[in-house]
Amino acid sequence: MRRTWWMWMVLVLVWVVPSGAGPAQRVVVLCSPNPAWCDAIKEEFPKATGIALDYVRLSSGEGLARLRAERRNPTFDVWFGGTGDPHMVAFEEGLTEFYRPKSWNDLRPELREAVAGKYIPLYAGILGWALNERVLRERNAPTPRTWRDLADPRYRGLVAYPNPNTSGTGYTMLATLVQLYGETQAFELLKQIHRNVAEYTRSGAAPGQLTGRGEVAIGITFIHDAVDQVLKGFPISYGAPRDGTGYEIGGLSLVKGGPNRAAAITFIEWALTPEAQRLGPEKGQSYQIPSNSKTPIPPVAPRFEAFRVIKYDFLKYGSAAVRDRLVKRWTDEVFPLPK
Amino acid sequence: MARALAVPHVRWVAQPAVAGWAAATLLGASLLPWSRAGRELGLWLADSTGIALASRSTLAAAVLVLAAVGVLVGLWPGFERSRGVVLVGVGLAGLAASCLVVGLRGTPLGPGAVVAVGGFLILTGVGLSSSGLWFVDPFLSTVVLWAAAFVVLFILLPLASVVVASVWVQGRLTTEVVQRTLTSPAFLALNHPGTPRNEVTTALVAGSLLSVLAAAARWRLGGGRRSIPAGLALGGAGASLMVLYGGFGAFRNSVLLAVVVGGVSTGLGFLFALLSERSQLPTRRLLGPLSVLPIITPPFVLGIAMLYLFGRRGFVTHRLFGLSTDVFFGPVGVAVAQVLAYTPIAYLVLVGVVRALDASLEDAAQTLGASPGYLLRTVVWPLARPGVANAFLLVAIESLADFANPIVVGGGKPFLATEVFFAIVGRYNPHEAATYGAVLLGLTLTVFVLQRRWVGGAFYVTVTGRPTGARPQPLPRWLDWAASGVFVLWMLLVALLYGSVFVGAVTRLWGFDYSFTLRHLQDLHPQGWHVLRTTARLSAYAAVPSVVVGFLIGYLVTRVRFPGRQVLEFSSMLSFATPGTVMGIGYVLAFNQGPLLLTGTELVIVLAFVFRNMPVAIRAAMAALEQIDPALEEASTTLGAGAGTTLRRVVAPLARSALLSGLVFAFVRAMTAVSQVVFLITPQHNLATTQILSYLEYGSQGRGAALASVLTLLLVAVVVSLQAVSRRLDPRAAHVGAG
Amino acid sequence: MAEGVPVRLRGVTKRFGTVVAVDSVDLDVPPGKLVTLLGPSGCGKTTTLRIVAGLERPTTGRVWIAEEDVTDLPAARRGVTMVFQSYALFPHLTVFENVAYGLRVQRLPAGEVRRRVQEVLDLVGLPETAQRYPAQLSGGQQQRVALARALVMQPRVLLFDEPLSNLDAKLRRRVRAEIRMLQQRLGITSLYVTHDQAEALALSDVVVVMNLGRVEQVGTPEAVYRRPRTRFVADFIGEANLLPATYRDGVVELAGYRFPIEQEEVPEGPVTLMVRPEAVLVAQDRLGLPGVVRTVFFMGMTTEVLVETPVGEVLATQPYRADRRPAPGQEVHLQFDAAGVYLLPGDGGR
Repeated sequence: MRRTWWMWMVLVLVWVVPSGAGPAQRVVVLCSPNPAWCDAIKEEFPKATGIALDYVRLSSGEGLARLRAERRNPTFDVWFGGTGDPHMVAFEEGLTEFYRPKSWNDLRPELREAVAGKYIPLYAGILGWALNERVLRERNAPTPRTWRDLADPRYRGLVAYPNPNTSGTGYTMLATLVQLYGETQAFELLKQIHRNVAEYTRSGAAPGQLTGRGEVAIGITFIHDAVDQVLKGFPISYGAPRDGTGYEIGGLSLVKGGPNRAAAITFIEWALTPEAQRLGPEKGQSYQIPSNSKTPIPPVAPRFEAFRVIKYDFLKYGSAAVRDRLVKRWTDEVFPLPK
Repeated sequence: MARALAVPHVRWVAQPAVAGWAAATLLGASLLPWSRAGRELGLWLADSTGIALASRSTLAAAVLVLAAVGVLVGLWPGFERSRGVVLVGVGLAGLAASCLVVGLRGTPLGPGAVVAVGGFLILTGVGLSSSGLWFVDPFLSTVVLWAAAFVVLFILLPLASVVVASVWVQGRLTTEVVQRTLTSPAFLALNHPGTPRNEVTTALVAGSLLSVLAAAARWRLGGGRRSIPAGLALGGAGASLMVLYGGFGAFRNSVLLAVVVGGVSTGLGFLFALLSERSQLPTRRLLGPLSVLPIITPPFVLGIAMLYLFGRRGFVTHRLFGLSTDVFFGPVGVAVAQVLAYTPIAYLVLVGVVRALDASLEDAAQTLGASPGYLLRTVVWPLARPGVANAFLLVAIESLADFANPIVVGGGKPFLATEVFFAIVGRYNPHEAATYGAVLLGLTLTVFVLQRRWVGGAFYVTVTGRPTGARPQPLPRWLDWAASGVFVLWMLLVALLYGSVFVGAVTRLWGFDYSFTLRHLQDLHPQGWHVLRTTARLSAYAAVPSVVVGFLIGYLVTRVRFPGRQVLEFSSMLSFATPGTVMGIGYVLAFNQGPLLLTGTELVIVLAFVFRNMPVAIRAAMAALEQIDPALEEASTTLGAGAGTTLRRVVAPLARSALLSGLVFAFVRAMTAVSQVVFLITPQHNLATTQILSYLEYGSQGRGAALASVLTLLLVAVVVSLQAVSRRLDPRAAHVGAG
Repeated sequence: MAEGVPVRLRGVTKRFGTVVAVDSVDLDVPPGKLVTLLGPSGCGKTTTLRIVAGLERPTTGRVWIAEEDVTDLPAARRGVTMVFQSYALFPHLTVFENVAYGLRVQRLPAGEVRRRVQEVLDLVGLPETAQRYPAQLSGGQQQRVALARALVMQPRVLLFDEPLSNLDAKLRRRVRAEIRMLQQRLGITSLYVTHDQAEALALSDVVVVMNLGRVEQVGTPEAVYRRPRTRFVADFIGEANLLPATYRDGVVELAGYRFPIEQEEVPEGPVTLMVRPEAVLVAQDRLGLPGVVRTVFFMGMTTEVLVETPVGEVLATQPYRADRRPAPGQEVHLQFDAAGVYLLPGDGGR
């Protein structure tokens, strides 16, 4: 008995103690897209380059907060994915630096121009919603068409919306409404929608998921996240408000003063290759439009032509001052209101 | 008999042990680096060895000189008492000098500094003992100093940081953040702006009516003069709760949740405890596994499972009954999930209480003609009260600290713990987070103090012990059946929930496509396995220090009288009463800069684990020590053994089984820790619980369920093998009865 | 053989919070002698013993062992061993390892440990139990192992904390005789705590009677029994009848019964008369203290008679004689044997 006990102990120790012979180089990634995509790069990047990769999955708002907190002692080398605004704020605040990759000229020009050399575009995705028609029918509620429709009391408890504090998706919707209706009207509308919101989720993908499970009928989300739910087999449809919708340019940034700069640059170059970008749809459950024009667009990816996309002012709404003010205003004026 | 023990005590000799410690201090302090280049633990600054520093700073030179003096003092054949006094002086001066060197440099600590501080603490401790200033064994005096240093650094400092951070903003003292946070409707608003009536007034009127009624009722029942304040207190509490119920905000949600979950869990726990001690039905045997459940699963996994089963599209509610309800989505869901997770804690506390209810007392009361109700009020309740209060306290604290369930099933409603989390992780506003943390701490400390005043004095029940023992009077038949019925329902529910997690791990898409797949398990490679391994490794690192520190503190508090013992006792009590979320943010605030820069390293996670395990380790130590006659230790002492030898050769072997189970439970609890460490994870040190949480949150339910299942099965295996081993290790069981 | 060493306590006081457990105690244990601390529970005798052992530190006062001030010395270094009331045998160690424990702590060579343990186990008559565990021994055997474990250290002072209280009456007598024999043979200075006066009288060279943290009387067993200095001592050690009387010119008078007494330093006037029950003769003639028999207890070898007299109830122990048994209600006279009579001044220090 005693001997087997010790054998078990040894076994556990062997499993638990880190194996010393890993790759010598490593890169530390702050990863904001679907965790499946993060898992995919963790698996593939070492195969391609021999450099180990560690990541933490944080929503883009959380990622920005984390970079701010660690300003003096960054633990991350690269910020991979997530909506563009926080990437832009991070650049303005000197948390990240712009690195011009070798494949810069291969990137889609419209994306390159929109971000004005503040971060590297990784993908583009359109804001929209996931709809669960069955739940809507149960409640005798019509299919929504515009943002204003969401204020309809028939949707009470049927809407999920990501919290703009933590989620870039949530902020993109906030900024879209402000650009569509002006700030005052936008906040009035948000207060009305607030009564219908069942949950402010922490991440931008969660509303699609809640819609898929039927917990809510309308989930504000990027359309590619809704596509993921559809492909997984959830009985939902997706779309975007007809009065116009915003979009995101997912970012890729080099963290300033990160511990492994050389490996980080290797990673950035790799992440922009068509091989790496194909991982998103193939293994990462992510169906955005890839930034490298040589990467084939996944057939299921929502395209700009199909929706009425506004001319989103990334420079203005990506600035730290505007972003922080809008988020704070939402947190103070909308979020705490009773439902 | 040639050689007598009674070497008359010779005082004119050298003390080689002292010289040895001092020499080790000198060596370590001069050759090891005092600073690290950055956050990483392995990056030493080569030019910061004590020798290198001494050439630049007189203070650092003084440290080395003091250590050298320590060596000489140890070697010098002097009079023991004066040597002790000199040693205390050397130790304290060295300690002060080392701290100054570290503080002035401001760079992250290296091993040289740690060795210096630890070494001078030893010299001080030994000096205090041999000078006769402190009538305690030198080993114990050193341990007391070390325990004090640990408590100050890793309990008091983080908590103080929380309080300070809320009022110390950008280099000046201000209550601005506190005011802004506390007046924000997200924290607490009592009146609903959308309704015309005034909820506060209504509730207060109802509350005062309740006070009068309660006072009158107590008066009629013969409460005498005490019935009026008692009634007022009851009514006041009721009115406050009603006011809260009418309001909204994080404070309201958390407090109501804690009260409801605490009450329900304590009630159910008491019922189950009665069953386990007095039931005559076979269901009683299932209570053992029940007690282990909460420790082997991260608490939020059950919450998720509940949503899958009972949500609007839940398997049970929607598929089987065709309902569409979102009752379980929001505070009610959080409450149910917490009750499921925490009732076993209440149960474990209350089993001890029910066992302590001497059946002969009840018999005696019954032979005197007492009715069952009277019996309950006059005999059972007064005896059970401390345990009930204790159970309520523990559950309420867990409920307040829990942030995972509110995030997962809370429907986005604010709770204190989630606001701490969002303030720091989402908005990166440490001051706001600290304010919420301070409120949370204040709440739990209030409950804690109230509880101690109400039941008077400490009350410890082990949470790790396996319940055994004789069975007193059986329950009345109807009660037995009813309670067993409740319990069976409970077990079915829990089995269903666990089952849904396991099934969810191997089905394609929970809720829609139930076909079998191993895909999710395969997808655990590489991240899932990596994280599981990291978690296991860090938990294993934390297990030994948890048990050692907990055991030593438990030993000091119960067996050794020394000045400052009550301070140590209270500080370690703080670890019982502090929500993990608060401690987590305290660690972020305290260890994010300066010499104590630890965030982003494995060490800070291990320390957080040790802190999480402290309450259990201390309680287990106290329970184990209660079983050991102090005369055994005294016998060892009079036979010439020092306290260290006594602990090693007498106490530890006798507490072996308790120590082993403490070790395993420390490991298991660390594996399932969430709120303490969620702020501390780094890319290299991601933990299984947070990984599961992010899988579940970001839409990879299958992968999350797979990781949760693997984790649960792993921990079940660990606990089961522990029980097999510890049964063989029980020292008494081994030797009794053989002759 | 270890030379006996003296133990000395001066002005030793121990307070626990506000409770004074030991109140300025002075105590001398002569070299090689066995001194008993005797008193009711809570009288401070165990605390005094633990202060000598070093398990407690006196609040004030000093302790000397072998003319050396050990007050600040921890227990482990005093060369003092102790036999505990509960024996405190280590349940996880065999008898051999229990006895060897202290020797191993001293890191003696294995051969010497074995030799000394065997020697001492022989000495206490348990050579064959070495490999058993304490739980497998009888109470008496456990007690002797505890003694062996203390003796093997060849201590300068041996302390006993009510070592016999867990044994039944018969065994207690036997073990107490063994302890006395061993102690005298080895000549180890010993301090022995008990609440059993018979044990104290049988064992000790000197008895120290304690009450409420203070020393009431110090003396040989005979002196303490025959000449108690206070009412408490008289009452606590053996049975005693304490009767109010007057003393004048070498004659005691109570309720008309007068008899001469030879005792020094007795003040004239009211005194308390102590009479041991065995010194009372229940006489049928008309001489002595008159009284009426209340109750008669048959005790086997003796008969106890409770007699109501004008000065209070008096207990008399009579040798059993079937032909002369006093009956309740009978009028009798009591005569006191001078050997069992002692006068306490005044009311006897009540």
